[in-house]
Amino acid sequence: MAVVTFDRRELKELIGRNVSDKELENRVPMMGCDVENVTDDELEVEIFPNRPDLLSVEGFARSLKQFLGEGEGVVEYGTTEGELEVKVDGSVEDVRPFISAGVVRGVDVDEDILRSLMQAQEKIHTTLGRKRRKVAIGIHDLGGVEGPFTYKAVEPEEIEFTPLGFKDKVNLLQIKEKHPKGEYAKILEGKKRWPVITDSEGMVLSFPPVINGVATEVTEETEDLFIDVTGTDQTAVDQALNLITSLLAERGGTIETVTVDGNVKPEMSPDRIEVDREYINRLLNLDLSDTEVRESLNRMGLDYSEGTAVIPCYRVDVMHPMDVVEDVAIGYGYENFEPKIPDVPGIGSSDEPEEFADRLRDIMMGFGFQEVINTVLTNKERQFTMMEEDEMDVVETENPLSEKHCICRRKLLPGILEVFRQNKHRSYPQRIFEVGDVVITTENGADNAKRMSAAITGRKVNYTDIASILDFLLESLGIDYILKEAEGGRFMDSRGAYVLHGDKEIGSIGEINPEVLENWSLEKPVVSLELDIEKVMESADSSIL
Amino acid sequence: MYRLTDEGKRYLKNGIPEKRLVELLDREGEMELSEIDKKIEDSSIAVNWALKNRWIEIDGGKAKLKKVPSKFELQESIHAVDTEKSVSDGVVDKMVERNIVEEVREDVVKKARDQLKEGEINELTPELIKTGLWREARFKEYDIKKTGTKAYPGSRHVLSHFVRKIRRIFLEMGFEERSGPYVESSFWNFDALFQPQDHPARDMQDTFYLKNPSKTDLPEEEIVEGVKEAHEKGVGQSRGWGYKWKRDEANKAVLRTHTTSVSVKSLAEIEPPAKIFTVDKVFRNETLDYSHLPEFVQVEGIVADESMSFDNLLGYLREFYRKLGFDKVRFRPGYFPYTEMSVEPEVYFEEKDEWLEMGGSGIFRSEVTEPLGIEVPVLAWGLSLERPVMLSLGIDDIRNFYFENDLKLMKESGF
Repeated sequence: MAVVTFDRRELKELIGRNVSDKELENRVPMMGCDVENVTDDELEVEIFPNRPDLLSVEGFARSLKQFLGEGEGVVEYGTTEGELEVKVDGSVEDVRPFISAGVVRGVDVDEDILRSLMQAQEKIHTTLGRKRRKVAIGIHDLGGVEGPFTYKAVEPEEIEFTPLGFKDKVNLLQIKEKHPKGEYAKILEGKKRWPVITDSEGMVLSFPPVINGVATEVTEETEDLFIDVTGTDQTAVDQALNLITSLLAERGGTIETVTVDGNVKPEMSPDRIEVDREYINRLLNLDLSDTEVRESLNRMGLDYSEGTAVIPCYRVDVMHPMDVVEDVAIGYGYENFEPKIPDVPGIGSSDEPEEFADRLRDIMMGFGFQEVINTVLTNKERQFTMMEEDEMDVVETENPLSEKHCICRRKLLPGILEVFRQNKHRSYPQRIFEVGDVVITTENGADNAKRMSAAITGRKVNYTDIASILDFLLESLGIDYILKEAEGGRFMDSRGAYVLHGDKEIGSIGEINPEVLENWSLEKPVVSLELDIEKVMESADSSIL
Repeated sequence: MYRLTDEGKRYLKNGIPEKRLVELLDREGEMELSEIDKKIEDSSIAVNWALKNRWIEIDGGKAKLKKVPSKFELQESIHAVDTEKSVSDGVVDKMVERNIVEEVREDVVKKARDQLKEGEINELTPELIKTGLWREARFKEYDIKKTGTKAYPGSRHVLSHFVRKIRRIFLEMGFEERSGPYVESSFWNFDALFQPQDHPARDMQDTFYLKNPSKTDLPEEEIVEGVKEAHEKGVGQSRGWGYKWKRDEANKAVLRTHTTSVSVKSLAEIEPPAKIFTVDKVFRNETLDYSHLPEFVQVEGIVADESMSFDNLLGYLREFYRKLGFDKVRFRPGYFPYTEMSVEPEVYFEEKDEWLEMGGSGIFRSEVTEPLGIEVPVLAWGLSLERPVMLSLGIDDIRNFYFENDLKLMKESGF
């Protein structure tokens, strides 16, 4: 999720008029961006990951202008043929294999442009670039360096240059260790050689994906820019390059091609994709003419004629005709669709265990029990240690949020005791129950199991208080049962039992061991009942269900 | 002390049976026994006692009056007991034998008398009623406007109440309920939903990966291959993500981050048309605060049918929120890797004068449906449960649902 802040003065300059607060608040969300905040000076929006072209003020202004119906269809950015060449050495193959590059001339770099470039670069790095792992962008002042450039991998200590922010030359390993941006070198972990871009003299322009050199630092004096994009995915690398070059073209720059390993970059001509009008109308349940489709798409910066959609080079999200249909829908306006309930046949049917569980809820409420809900995530201490029971195999998270929430519950009863602990200041007796899923490890992973746990606590509470409830419950479901004494663990001796239906254990019942009560700081006796809901359901008389 | 039994009270009101018989025969002359049976209650008792007293005789199945007694002593004794006049011991024994009167035990009488001595009486007691002494009592006047301490039934947890409500809404709309496990493979949670393996949502910061079990099985090879192809090269008219898809990434076990895993798994099993829903827990590695929990409930639904279009998606969503009590609903464009037309429904919340986001929805991308053998449009939504509940009840802190099981507040909520 990328949240960006745009200067409204710049937006006004780029759009050609001031867009009012109300317009921003109403229209920007319908274009597909969340408005976080509008102030007199700034607009803060959340840009969805499929639209990195909106991460820069230039790109955002371009799209908003079009969406407001004030743009001109597909924006095409022409390129002129340039002479610069980037040679790609085979040594990068195993390190960071892909590079793309472009030149933009005649940009009147000022504070706004510098800031915008930096923001766009940073946001593209974190989104499309997956924190520079997939894509990293370097922007350079082309004055004073000579091509051809070389992209190659070198031993970290073999080469030295002065990185941005430093006064002296250091080698790549020193950058990793000392430079504030050195943390990005962890992307290269395990690689013996690290990538650099050098000029014809062997001077380092850039150490991607970490830092550029001071030699090509972009300042307000800069007129001609060189952009390099390196990464692990050719498509993403090319897309990022187009995002930056088109941004600069919006600022009046002329894009010049670079020959990268024999290929001419950037490739900025619009893309074409076939999208049948009937397909559009069927999915949207509309009856749009070619012209109407075009009008809708124009508002999204796309064009359309005779079954072909034209997609500008900066739109990286279109990979299927469906994506074009969505742009038709957004351009047409989600607010202009009339919601319609269709007539799809189907007979409602509920999940049987869930339905049965709900019946148990009703019975327990009839007994005056209050339902509680606890979290699934808990820890071993609560599930086992505090219950004086042996640890069981449980589902355990690799990256827990906290020590309190690192496993999935295997039992409901600890949660019930926790509720008692939280309610010691409330009136007694307390009768509560929970119906919910526990997670049990299996041969191939893990599965859910539905359980019920109920308990009573109070000064004068004993085994029969809960046994009588169990007796009614099972009798009403037509289940014969016997009680078999349970030894030790959470129950007091001779006051705990397994509930058996035939040979099958379907639950347990008993009075909680005072040792356990002490662990939970409880001072009144507790009796509890636990049932395996699926087993109870299987054992129940089906004519009663 | 003696008092009338239920039978005694009846005889007091209607007359003893033998008296009624004598009066009947006196009025209508001799009569068939079967006829008598039809005309008076307790006819066999009546015949029996009238014979014993020699008031009638029976001849050839007919009863004939012999004499009409000058007075019915028993009837008078019943009146005497009722008005608490004395009755001779002999008659009392007879009445006890016939279960017309019963003795009120001395201790009960004593208790009742003691209660009377207290003067103004607070409670009407069984002793006072049994002895009839309540007639002599002076009862304390109550303030009928006082309703006393509050009474609470056992009740549902508020979320459980809303889950039930939502389940009913979908069942009414003809949806089939399905469920699935919390522990799911990355395959079903992400890959089958066309989320590229380097997608940020798959990061550890957002998803709970598992130490145990760290891996789970992948489904049948045909599905795995289809999904792989969708990612790498695209299926149908799609261009795909264009990267090398890894099996090792797909079989990593996670706690499902959305119930969409249940929907997409169902898609692999069903034949359209189908309407399926799930209301269940999901897990996100989010820091706990007033609006975020590491686990919460999602309301999930899909509709797979040839005729489905975008306006139908909006139709289902609007209907759902209407049934939940939110009349004003609007739809905004959103983004999810697995839907195209992605929609974020919002409901208008009057008290805050704000539109509030309720979740995500859309039409599944064909990169999702095609590898599962589904060739029709599939509408899908994954909506928040807690959000509308918080809005309805004016709860500001989502933690109240799970971490503050305050029994007093819960009882008072009365769900």
